[in-house]
Amino acid sequence: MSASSPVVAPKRMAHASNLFVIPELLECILLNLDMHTLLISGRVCRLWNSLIKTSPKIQTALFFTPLSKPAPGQPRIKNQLIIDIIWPQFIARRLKTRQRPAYRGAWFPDIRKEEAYLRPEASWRRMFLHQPPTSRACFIEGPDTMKGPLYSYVTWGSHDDPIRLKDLEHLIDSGVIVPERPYVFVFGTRGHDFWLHEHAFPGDSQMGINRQLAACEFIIFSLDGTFDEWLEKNNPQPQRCTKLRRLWTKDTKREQNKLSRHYRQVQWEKEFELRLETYSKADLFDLARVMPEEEEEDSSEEDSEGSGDESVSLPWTD
Amino acid sequence: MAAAGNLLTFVSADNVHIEVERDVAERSLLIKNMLEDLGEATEDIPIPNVNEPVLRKVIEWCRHHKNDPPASTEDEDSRRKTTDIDEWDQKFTQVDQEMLFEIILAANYLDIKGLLDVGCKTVANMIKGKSPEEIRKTFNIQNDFTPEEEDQIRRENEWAEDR
Repeated sequence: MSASSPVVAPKRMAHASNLFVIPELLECILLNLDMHTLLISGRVCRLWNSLIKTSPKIQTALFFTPLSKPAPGQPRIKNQLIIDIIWPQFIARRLKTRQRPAYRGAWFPDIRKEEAYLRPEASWRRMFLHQPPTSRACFIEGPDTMKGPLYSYVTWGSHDDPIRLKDLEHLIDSGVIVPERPYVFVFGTRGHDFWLHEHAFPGDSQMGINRQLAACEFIIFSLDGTFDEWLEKNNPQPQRCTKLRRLWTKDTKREQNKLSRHYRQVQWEKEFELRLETYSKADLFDLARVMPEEEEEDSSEEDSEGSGDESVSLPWTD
Repeated sequence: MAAAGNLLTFVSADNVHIEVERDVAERSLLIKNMLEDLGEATEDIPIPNVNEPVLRKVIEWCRHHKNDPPASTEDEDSRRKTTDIDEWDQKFTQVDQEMLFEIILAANYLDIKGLLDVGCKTVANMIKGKSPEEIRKTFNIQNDFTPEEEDQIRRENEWAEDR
């Protein structure tokens, strides 16, 4: 047989074709792959490529399409490819072809790979950070008083447009946010804000971080003051950072525990209404799951079944 | 030969008669539904598309798993335990590729969800960690992209490819 003539299918190939040609079977096989192999196996042949591109389940497994109907109480899933590859290999490194001013980490080792990451069509940009994705980030301000850190949830774009990795690219490259190693999905505004983690989550930082990530896409620790100050200074895509709600701090919670039950009830209702303006029901669901856990943490000191939240509206839109 | 009591007779595509206990045969939803429709099965049951050696393997699997709880309808659940294949099933799937694929096709045709899952996971384990070139080689899949098409796809995901 000459090299140019078509390869005659041996017996085995006929079976492989029979199997892979049934979309449900190929889909079932591919859904059992790890994310990395699944992503790159679109290059095997046309049949695989078109199934991977068109199967909603596979697109969801690759974090390109939002999980449509999460079961109630189902924990959100982190994008494992970001944890394993994208964060340590690309996000947390200095690049040869792009200056990331605040970075002190290792250089990207391979210039060809760096180019592959930086191509406009590179698929990592379209990925969500979590499934199901949200449009919210957590902003934790460094303590400028004895009160301790302040937590805020920042709505980062609209609900129809949850946060994808591409939304962070400019911020990372300009050094406005700097990855906080060894954590993933955690940034500082200057880098190496480790001590702030300890203040924000005394005891076990990773556990506190995970608890926040259950409700938002990423966390920014800032020593540069409040979110609006930070935003004004850095102007990171202001069209996407639209609103700020300061939801609670541990300190104000303790203060409020001393107040009357009636007062707490009023505060709770007031805050609940504020949240309703800001977030859709899906968001409320997320918040509801995060907040009781926080309360538990405090309950050792005092009975704190109320929300105990301070609600400060800092309308950002003007 | 008519099947007596709870014993049924399968007839493979290559016309071999194989006796199967009814509870084993009912691991196949296709057979189970058929028996429910028929009431008493008095005739031989033809299994077209499935040859004797494959049918015997399938029956072997069904016999081992006849007391498994019924397959859950939520496929999310089974998907969560991805790579886990129990020891017996691992041994069971240590067959050549052709036989493995025949078993999966038979499980698909006969609607045996547990066996289908085991088969798909086994094939997935053969793919894991391989490059597209290695996957093609493993399954003798022809690269039918034009060089331009393949390059376009490569450009999207090359950041994730090794080297």
